[in-house]
Amino acid sequence: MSRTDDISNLFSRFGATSDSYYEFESQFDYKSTPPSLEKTAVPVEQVPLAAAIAPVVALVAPVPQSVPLVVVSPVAQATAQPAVPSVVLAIEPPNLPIQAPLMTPAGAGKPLRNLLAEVVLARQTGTQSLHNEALPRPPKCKAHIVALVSAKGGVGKTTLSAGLASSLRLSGGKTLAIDLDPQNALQYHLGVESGVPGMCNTNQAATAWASLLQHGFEGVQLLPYGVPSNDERSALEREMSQDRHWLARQLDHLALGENDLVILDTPTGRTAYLQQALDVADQVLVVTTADAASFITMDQMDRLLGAVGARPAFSVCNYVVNQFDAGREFSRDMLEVLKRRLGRQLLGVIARDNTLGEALAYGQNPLATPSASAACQDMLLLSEQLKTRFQTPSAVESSAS
Amino acid sequence: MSKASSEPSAEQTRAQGWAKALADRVDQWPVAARRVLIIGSTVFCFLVGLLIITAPFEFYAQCVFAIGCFGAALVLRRIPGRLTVLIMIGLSLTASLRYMYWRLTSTLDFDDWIDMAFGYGLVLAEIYALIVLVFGYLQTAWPLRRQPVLLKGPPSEWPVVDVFIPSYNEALDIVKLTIFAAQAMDWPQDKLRVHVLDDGRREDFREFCEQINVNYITRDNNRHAKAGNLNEALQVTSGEFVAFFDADHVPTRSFLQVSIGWFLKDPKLAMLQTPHFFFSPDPFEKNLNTFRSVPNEGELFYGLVQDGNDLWNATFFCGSCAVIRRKPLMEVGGVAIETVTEDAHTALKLNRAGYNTAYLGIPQAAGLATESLSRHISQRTRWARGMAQIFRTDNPLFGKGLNLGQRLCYLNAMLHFFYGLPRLVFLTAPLAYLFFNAQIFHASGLMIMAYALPHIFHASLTNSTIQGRFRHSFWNEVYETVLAWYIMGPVLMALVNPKFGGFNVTTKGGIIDEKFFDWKLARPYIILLTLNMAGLIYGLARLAMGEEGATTTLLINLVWTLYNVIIASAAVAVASETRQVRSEPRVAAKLPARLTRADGSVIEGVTQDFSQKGVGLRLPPGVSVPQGERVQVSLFRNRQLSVFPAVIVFSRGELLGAQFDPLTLRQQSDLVRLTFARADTWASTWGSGQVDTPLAALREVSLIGLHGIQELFKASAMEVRSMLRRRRVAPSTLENALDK
Repeated sequence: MSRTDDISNLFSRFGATSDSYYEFESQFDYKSTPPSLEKTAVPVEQVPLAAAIAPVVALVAPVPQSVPLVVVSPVAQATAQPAVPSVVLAIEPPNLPIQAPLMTPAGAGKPLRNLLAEVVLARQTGTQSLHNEALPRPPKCKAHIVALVSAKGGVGKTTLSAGLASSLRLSGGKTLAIDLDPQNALQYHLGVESGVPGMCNTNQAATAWASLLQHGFEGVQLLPYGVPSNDERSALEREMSQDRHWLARQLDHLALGENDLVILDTPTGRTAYLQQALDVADQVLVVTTADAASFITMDQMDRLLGAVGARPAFSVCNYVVNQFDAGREFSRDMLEVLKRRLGRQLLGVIARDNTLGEALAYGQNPLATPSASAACQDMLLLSEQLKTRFQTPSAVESSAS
Repeated sequence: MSKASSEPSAEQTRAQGWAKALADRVDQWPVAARRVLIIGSTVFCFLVGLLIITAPFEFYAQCVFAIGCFGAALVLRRIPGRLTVLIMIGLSLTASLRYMYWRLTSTLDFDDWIDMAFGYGLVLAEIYALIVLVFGYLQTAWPLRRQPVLLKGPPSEWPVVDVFIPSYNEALDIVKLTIFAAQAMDWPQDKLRVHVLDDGRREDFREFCEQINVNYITRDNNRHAKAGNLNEALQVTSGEFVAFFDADHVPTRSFLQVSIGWFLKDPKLAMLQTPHFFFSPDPFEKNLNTFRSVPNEGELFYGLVQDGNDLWNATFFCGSCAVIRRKPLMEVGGVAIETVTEDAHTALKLNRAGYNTAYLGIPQAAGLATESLSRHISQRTRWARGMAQIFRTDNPLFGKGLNLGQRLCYLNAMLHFFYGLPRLVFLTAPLAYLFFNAQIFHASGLMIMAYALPHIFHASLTNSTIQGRFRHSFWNEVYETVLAWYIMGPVLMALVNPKFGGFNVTTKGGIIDEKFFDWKLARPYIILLTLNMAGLIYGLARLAMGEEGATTTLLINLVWTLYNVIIASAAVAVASETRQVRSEPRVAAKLPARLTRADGSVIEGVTQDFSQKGVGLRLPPGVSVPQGERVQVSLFRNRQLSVFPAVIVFSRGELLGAQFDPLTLRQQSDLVRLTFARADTWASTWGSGQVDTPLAALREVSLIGLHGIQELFKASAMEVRSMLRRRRVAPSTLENALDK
């Protein structure tokens, strides 16, 4: 979506750039308002929760635009700690991301925790790599593998995974969506009946993956996580923790071609599933939202992604800002902060949109109705970007992390 | 035009390079030598010109000469560039002056007094036309195409600007737009002072200004109308610069940053004018349905004439969409009050005082055009009278302080408004021969053709080349014919007595409830049309009867009459007023928009048009929203987004019409900022009209003329029918009384 800049449009007519132009977003005091007040509280009606939060943020940070980092730091204490099981966060309704800081008001000192996390991570990867030396790494999968990850829950990974899975297809290839999230929600987003067996029900019979594939929207093939018993689940996770290239091996068995695509939906935070996903993905998409709660988990994500041996060398990492609400000034400011921080790593921005939730409720594919909603448009755009990237491998280098 | 000039042929660049090298070499000569060269070449050119103009040719030689020149012009026309235009002007002047010399020396041998009266009348009209043609060439041969100078320093060093919005009787709904937009101009808030100068002294204006925190100025009298109003406000304000906007001219947010730069660069600059751009059709465009397809009456002036004036440092102030430096303005005694066109007169005074004036051809404000023909005519009449007044009281040819270019530019601007009488002469001249057999042209038909046709064809072709994007051929005749009768009286009156008459305000933004034919206004054109039609028929009859030796002359006069019929019938078409449904004119613009439906789902769309009260939207294919649904419309500018509650009042497929709920002041201000005050909306449609081709324009005018005749018949039939009906019903005394 191109929102053309009227000033640069004008200035380009006489061969100047708009750099020398000053914008004055002057605020005027308008004394009284005409009798037509009944319909004025528009933005509040639209996003009641977000608006309710806004005063809190405003209180904490009266000047959000100038020093954005300062803004978020007080809220940072309220972040989800690594110790909190990711599942808890993931169960949140996807449209209420800002609840997180309110629900856990207290928090530990951030620097120490982060340092510890770093050390722990380094230790784990170290031991794992030692451990895995016994098992040879399978050859790199020919298919393009996209992993959607995030350090914070409720940012819409699963929705986005489903959107990409149903919209992204390389010519002559198939698209495979794999749900690595014990929440097992991806199948609903792709219109697959509940109760079908998934990867956790396989008894580790690797060859069986092909038989478990379900057909979702737009001919996408889906491997659900399944509904495991406790034993099944711990067995699966144990296997993953023992074999660093478990997922790579599974994919190898599927014999995918180079025009095939795999979309991996992962659970929130640092889990065995995430490590497996990062191990195979050539395109990592970190899903985030334009708010403080997501922002403060970013360092954590960076460390995860940057850890030695976490990702193969060919892997590319990009960020997607989801559930963006252009109507709130705060969101716009946050987006600006993210843009500054991420630079070209920021691949796309997807608008907040209720139609997605509704489509899920009715078991419909939101992308099937012709371009009705903003979020769908954004998603299609993102999918288009990824497609060109996969079709022209040389373009990847420019945005490599 | 930038496209045309950016791709010159290789020959041209070589020629330019050669010319530049020559000019550089001459520049190194001593001053005296250079002066001798200039004077010498001028005298030489003058002598050669004189020789060419006065050389007597018999018929065939003249034909060969004319065909040669015209052929050259036709070829030259295809080569873009300024040199081409200059050569074409040279050829056109040759043909025209040759014609005029021949006309004055060999065709005025009249036999009796009827011939003499008609003949000299026509010659005088022709001399007038020639003078205006020559001055017009001078004015438009080399438009300066000034580019904006951008502000260099930080905003803290920018000057203080007062914005004057004078109003007398315009509705608040219209003026509101201007005030909001003026307030939202991108300029430091403490250096931007918006003043509403209300000569109507209206309570709702005062209240509104107070609510939105702009200055409200009134005075206890209405002396000198708008000029007096402005002068009064000059007394109580102090900013270094004053920006003027008529109450219905909405500035864009970039207006000041684009226009102030030149003042900082040129300390002698006193006034900078930007075009008046109209987002609603004027009566011509409305009644002839030519909005945005045929350049309107004002476009030539702002597109070309002002730009040409700028070369001679003779840009006029046009009363609105301009910035004036306060100091020089106060030096010349504020805005001129002696005439009813205070703006042009003020510029003349500033130029006389040695200050510069400038024109920047980038529309940075837009307004409402006059919406009915009668108001349009009264506005133009005022301009014409004012110009005639200046001509009488402060003639630019005389007096101190002007250079020759300035004198001629101002003079032409005034002479231009004297077209009333000459236009009527041209529209009736052939009838003198057809009806009275008056020999107003004492020459053989073939000789007339051999001399007059090159004059006419060259002038048309050259003007079409120069004006192509800003005026289409033959439209000038239509515009002038419509106004000629009305403008003639006041102009002659003002020439006799400049003090006569008052100031009439042009009201705008009204509704024309139903289509109607303005009989009263159309009367002069109907008479002209009828006379010419009768002349045509009578002439054809004479031709059919085969008069001895008069065939060529008859044919010439018949063709002339036919042309007059076309022009007059097009003028009649203008008088057929079309309905204007909406009182807020809509601006067509495609901007991204977002529609949030009542259930919270969001649809991306594109606006089709916008007004203060609503917006037209196009949704993605296959998506529609039912009529009556409550929605929220979000509009963007860059990152900024504003949400406006609205109701869908129209829905057909993907096209929607949304009407805003009553908006708060803040929302109204936001709406103006996101729509009318956008920097690029007006500039993007400026000068992008279809380029003129004379034949296509003639066809178009002819079709409009046919339509005009049709409308005339329809209206007459209606009139006759209603008259019959009235007669059938017994005439009641009450009705008669009301009629009186």
